[in-house]
Amino acid sequence: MMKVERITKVVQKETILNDINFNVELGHIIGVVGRNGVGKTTLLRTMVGILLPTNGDVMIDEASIFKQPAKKQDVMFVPDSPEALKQYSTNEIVRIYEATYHRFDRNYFYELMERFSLPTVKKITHYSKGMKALFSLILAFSTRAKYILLDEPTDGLDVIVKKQILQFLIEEVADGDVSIIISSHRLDELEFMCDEIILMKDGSIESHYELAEMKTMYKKVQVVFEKEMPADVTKHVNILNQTGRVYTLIIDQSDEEAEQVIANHQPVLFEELPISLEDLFVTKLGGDSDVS
Amino acid sequence: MFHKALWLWNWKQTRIMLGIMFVVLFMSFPFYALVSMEGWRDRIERIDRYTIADITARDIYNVFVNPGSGVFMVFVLVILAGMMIGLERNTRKHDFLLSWPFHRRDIFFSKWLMGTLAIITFFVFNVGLAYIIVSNSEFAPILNDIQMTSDLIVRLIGFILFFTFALLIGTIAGEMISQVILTLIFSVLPFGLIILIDEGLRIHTSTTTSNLINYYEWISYITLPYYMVLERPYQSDLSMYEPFILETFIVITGTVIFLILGMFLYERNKVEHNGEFLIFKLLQPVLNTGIVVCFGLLGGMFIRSFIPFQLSNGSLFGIFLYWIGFNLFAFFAYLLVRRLQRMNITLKSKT
Amino acid sequence: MLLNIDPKSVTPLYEQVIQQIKELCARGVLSPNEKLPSVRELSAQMLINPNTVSKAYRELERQGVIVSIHGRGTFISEDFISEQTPAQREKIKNELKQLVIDSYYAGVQKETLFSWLEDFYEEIGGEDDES
Repeated sequence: MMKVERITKVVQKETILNDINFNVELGHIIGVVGRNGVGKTTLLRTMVGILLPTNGDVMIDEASIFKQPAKKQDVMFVPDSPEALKQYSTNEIVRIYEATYHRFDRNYFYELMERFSLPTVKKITHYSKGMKALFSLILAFSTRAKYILLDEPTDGLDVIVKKQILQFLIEEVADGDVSIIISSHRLDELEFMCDEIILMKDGSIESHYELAEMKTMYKKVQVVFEKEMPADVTKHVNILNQTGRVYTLIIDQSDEEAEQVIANHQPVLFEELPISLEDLFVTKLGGDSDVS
Repeated sequence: MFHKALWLWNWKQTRIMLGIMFVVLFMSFPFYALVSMEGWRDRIERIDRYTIADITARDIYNVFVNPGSGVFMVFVLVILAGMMIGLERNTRKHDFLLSWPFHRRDIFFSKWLMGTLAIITFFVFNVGLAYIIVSNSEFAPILNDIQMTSDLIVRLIGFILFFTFALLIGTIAGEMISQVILTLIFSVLPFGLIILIDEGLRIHTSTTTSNLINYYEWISYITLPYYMVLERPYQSDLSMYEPFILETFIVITGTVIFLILGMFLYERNKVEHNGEFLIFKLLQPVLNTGIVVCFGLLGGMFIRSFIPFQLSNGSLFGIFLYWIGFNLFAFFAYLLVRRLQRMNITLKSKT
Repeated sequence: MLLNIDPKSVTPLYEQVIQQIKELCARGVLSPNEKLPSVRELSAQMLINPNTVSKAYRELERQGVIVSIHGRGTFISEDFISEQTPAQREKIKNELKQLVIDSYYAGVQKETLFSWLEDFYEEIGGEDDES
């Protein structure tokens, strides 16, 4: 198990990460979602020891990765582009990875290269953007690390490559003992892939859901009252949208009174709507639905 | 501590610079020996046959111990260290390296070790080659009269000291250019500063001789490039001259201190400041003050140099000019410092 | 095999998978002893979480709709309908009750509901008296 224990990161008196706390179980996909600049990348970079946290620790099987960096055999960080290796040839990269990661599986690497029809090249700058993204993932999974951290893995890729990548990720998790932590500002892609979603806002975890329970925790309804919305209702709900007298609301299911209060005012219309992660995103993180 | 992956990485990162270092040392020793010998032969031929004694031990000594190679090596080593740390900070390579399952201090140590081994190997090889060339020539009899081992040792460990220092500066500088500049400034700072202060004092008093001249020798010992360019008046009978022990002691102690300090600071590396002028922000005010004051002293000296100092030492006009220069330069340095504080040089990919 | 997952539906994802597979069985699209795609294949194909699919498969297996044979894969069981437990019947009853309540508030007439029920049974080819 990988544990992110109360990570706080302060840079120049500005708090970038604030008391981030969660666990990553093996075989899970965890989505880290939030608007741009909210600290997602900082979090991932801290989880692999690139950045040192101001407070807190990252543990793998009860050992701190900062005190025992050898534990990072089990963590791979895949940045949004493999820029660090751009002058390297495919074979040089295999050599250096084999030297770095004990469990690097050369056969598996070439098998995947073949499967995605990636040629070996003299310099990986010769790859197209989509190929680079695929290549980074193939490398990461070939190390047989248990925790793979992906920073916006599908950002700016075309639909076909994007689908290839997402399928690949799912297969890897389905196959065995690997967990994926994936950051994205694209909710629609992550929504059904993840076991858990971590919603970040201003460097903190705003919410942490398990996918299965997420939709049972909240309810989206459309309500129309005779007149304006009564003040006591406002206290119990989040208003997603208002068009004239028609309100779209998100109701927290743990608030048992909420629906009763609405019913007391005898709404003209009370209709449950399908709820998506995006609705929650907007409610929780505020602002409009433009999350990119 | 010795990870193969780090060797592969460092080699790929620095092999061009290592190649240049080899070439520089090759030019400085074997090549220079060949060229010098050609010159001597020319000289002998032009006079007459039996003046071989004209070529003295001093000439041979100078082939091996001269400031030329040292000056080149200052630049080679500072750029080598810059490529090892500063350049990685400019690109995403540093991120990549730190995500590896190694202690940061091991990463730093591997860089140091690779540079140091390259310096030793290339130096010994090229000096040895030059020695073989000379000893197989008609000048071999003179070669046997010379004691230069101790000077060569000081030079070799002087290179290592300077390289270690440049790596150390890499742990506090945010990127390559600032690492190179800060290394060069700090390495000559003790000597530079004493000259600036000395000049300042002289202008305010009526003396024409240096007030601090007694300290010059002592200051040399803590000015790093000194060991790379030192040259002694040659005395053939002095097999082990006195300063050797002291110099070796200072250089080795310095290297060890810089190496340990570098490993310590690299371990606390604040990657979030990569691309900025300094990594450790606590040093910023100190550095700012230092830059402003030094530029002030330099400016004072510079403006003041427009009038002959014999006429004006201690004169009000001289002092007045000095302070105008001081303030002018300090002001510009202040603007520069503010600019440096905001800079961020990070190369992003084009795609 | 293609499942139609409705991203906006209130029904949790794994329940949608269960329902869809049951529906495919009921409509005869999937026949007894037919091999189902593996968890890996199905989740990758539909881009949904593998744990969700395996949870759905586990539940389907518990309900006797499918059987998994180690080393060979997962198959539709021969007689899945008869193996329902009382608890499941209770659950269906409750869900229907909820649906009726919702329908009532939505102004759907009892007769309309009945006619829909009949339509659905016709669609899957079941028998009327199986409620």
